[in-house]
Amino acid sequence: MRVRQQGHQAISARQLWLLIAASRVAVITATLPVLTTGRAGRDAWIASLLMTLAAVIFSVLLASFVRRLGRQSFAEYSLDVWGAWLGRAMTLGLCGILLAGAFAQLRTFTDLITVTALPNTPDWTLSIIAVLPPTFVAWRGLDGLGRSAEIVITLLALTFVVIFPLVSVPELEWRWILPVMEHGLSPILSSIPVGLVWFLAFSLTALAAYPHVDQRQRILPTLIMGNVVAGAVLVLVSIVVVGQFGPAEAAKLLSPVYSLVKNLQIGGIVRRMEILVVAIWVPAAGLAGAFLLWAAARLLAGITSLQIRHAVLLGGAIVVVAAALPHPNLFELVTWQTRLALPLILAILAVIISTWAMDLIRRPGRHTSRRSAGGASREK
Amino acid sequence: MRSKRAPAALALLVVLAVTCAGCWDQREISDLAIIGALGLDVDLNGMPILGAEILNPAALARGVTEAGAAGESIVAWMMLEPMASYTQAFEQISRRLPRIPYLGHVNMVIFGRRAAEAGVGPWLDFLARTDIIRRSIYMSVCDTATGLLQRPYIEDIPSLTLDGLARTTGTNSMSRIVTLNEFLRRLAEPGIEPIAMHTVGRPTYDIYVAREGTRSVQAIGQDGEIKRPSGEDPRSEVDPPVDPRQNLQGSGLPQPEQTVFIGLSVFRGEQFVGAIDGLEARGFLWATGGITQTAIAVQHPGHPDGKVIMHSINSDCNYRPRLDETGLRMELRIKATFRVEETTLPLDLTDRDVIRYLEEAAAQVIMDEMQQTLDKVQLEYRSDIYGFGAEIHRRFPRHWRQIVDDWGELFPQLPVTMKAKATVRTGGLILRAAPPK
Repeated sequence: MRVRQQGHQAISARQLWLLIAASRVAVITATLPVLTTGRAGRDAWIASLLMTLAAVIFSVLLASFVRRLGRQSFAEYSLDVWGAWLGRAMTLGLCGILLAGAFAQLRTFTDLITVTALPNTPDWTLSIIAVLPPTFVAWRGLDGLGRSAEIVITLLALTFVVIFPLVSVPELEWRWILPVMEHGLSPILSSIPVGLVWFLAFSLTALAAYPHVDQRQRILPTLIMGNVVAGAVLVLVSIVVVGQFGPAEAAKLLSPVYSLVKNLQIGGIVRRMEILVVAIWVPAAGLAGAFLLWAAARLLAGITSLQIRHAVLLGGAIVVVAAALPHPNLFELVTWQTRLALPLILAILAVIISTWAMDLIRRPGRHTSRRSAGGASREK
Repeated sequence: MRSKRAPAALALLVVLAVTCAGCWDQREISDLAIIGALGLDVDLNGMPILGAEILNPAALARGVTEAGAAGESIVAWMMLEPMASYTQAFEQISRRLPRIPYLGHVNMVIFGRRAAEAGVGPWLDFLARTDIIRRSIYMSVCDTATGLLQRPYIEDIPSLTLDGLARTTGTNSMSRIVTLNEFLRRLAEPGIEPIAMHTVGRPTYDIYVAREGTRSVQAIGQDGEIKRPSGEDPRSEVDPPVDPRQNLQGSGLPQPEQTVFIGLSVFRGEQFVGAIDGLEARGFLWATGGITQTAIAVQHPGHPDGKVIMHSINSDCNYRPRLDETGLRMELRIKATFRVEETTLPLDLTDRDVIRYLEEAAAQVIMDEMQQTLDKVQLEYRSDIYGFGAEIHRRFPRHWRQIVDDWGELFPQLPVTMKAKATVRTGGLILRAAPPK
């Protein structure tokens, strides 16, 4: 099926990994530390490390798979492999995961804003306001997303890598991360799926973005870089959070990073740093939501006669309606993420591996080489 | 056509963002009653009393003296309210306060001694849960919290007195800043007990609150009269409000009911069990690496009546738990660096033996102070504020699992050995003092 697209729908491989990394950093710094420290406690940093390792392994798998897509997205490819109905069902499943991710991301941030800054503002107002800008950015196309990522990742890096360890977390005690693995591997392993599902969700965007990426032969380092950068931030944040609050207290917090930010001060003079950090955080979260929305729309456009922009509007409308509902709230979202993480990971792996296997069975001769993948030009 | 749609959509978003976000939450600063500190006491019946220090920005902007001349010298009001919960207490306070109580500028929470002895646990959840109060606020225990908050000294605002004392603890190292975050962390973790700042130098009073009309005084206003039942104390009124200018015009000597000394409070779990003050607090800070600047006095090497005063430059202490067939014990190794600050008799710092003597004497002073504090904390308070348990947990996690439930009983019996090493680095500008003619 030929996808009708607007112009300038291409980004470089570097922009793609920046986009993936920025989106992940926004998500993981919002709620992930509490999900990891909740179970792994002082070993949250090990869980983060293993999570990153698992995400890198998945990246290798995904990169090998997307090379088979050629100039198609997963949507067109699955139609070829599975046929019209099953292919559409597979793609719609991925669309659902991406849209749910966009919704969870935006709802998390609107609830955080409600809790931390605007307690009297109705939820629906904040939700709509939070969804509209990402929808607009996604509607403008992948090109804008890629350029935004270059700015956002710089600000995020400045915030989480420079400010945290260097400027000052006043009561940071590294020794709180000891003893290591006191309760064995079990709590660590059980905390991995929650974070990993977010890593995978953003990697899945490659299934939509792949035909729009220049230098497609660099898709493997692109995906690995996106995972490693975000993973490094998560490891750092996990250590700092546990070092600042202690493992028991950190596990209680809704958003340890926000609580951490509220403690920041520079030289005992500059306080209220949370204003600055939130000002960076919110656009990053919006970018992550927009990226997921665009990817879902791109896949949706691949299996329907919709233009990508129209699919973005449709996806945005779905997210707006979902976001305007009072449930799930942030606490329910945390519970859902914990319960659904492993099934979602298995579902994602099942879709990719089965599609790949089916393609090998039905079309054993088809192979997309690095050279042919890299030779693609910008699509109009 | 397309080029016109994008700016239009952007304009729509800006309009939405400007008109919608914050409308429900906007508050004019002139509508806020800014609370500088919170105090918690209990009355004779065990009823918790919340005290809120509400600042008067107008008087503060003018300065106390100028504002006093203008007849507006009240810089803060103490609002007192019997408290079932913070939220309900603030609701009641807001019934007689023409502004919205605003907690964003709370910089400390002070627990009265009786309230702290009863246990601070029930009063911590709100502080940790609400977004508006920062975890970096100071935690302190005072004989009467609302009493302290009516005693400005040097600073116009009473809570700023304690704030200033907290910030300058580094110059004496007989207390240190303890934030809400550190308190909560120590409370949550096994093997370490909470501490807080402690203000001493005033008698302990029970607080009896009876709102018998509004009374305002020159410096600090209060909306409820704080009384102690007559007959129990010759002083009919507890913690009378003080005009800050009175202190400024005073002799500067410690006044039993006005001067605040700062030390450290010791908790066992959520309950206050006692205070360590002065050199005791310093003994604790030597052992926890909390010394920044402090002066110690050692006997002059040449004369028993002479003193050499040495100022610490830095110090560090390591805990080394040991587990062998004799059982568990803790080793403390402290290193401190000093400079010679002053001497009452001539001193020759070019003599290596003199330096060695000063180093050994300084090390002995450190160990004596540490031992004195350790004895009190281990045997009297039975509270592991050092975090020995947490250190054992780190080094011997398996053994810790066996003893964690009994740690409260084991801590007082834990053998602790200390080893101090002092180094004299400098001696100021005088190398070899000449004897007077």
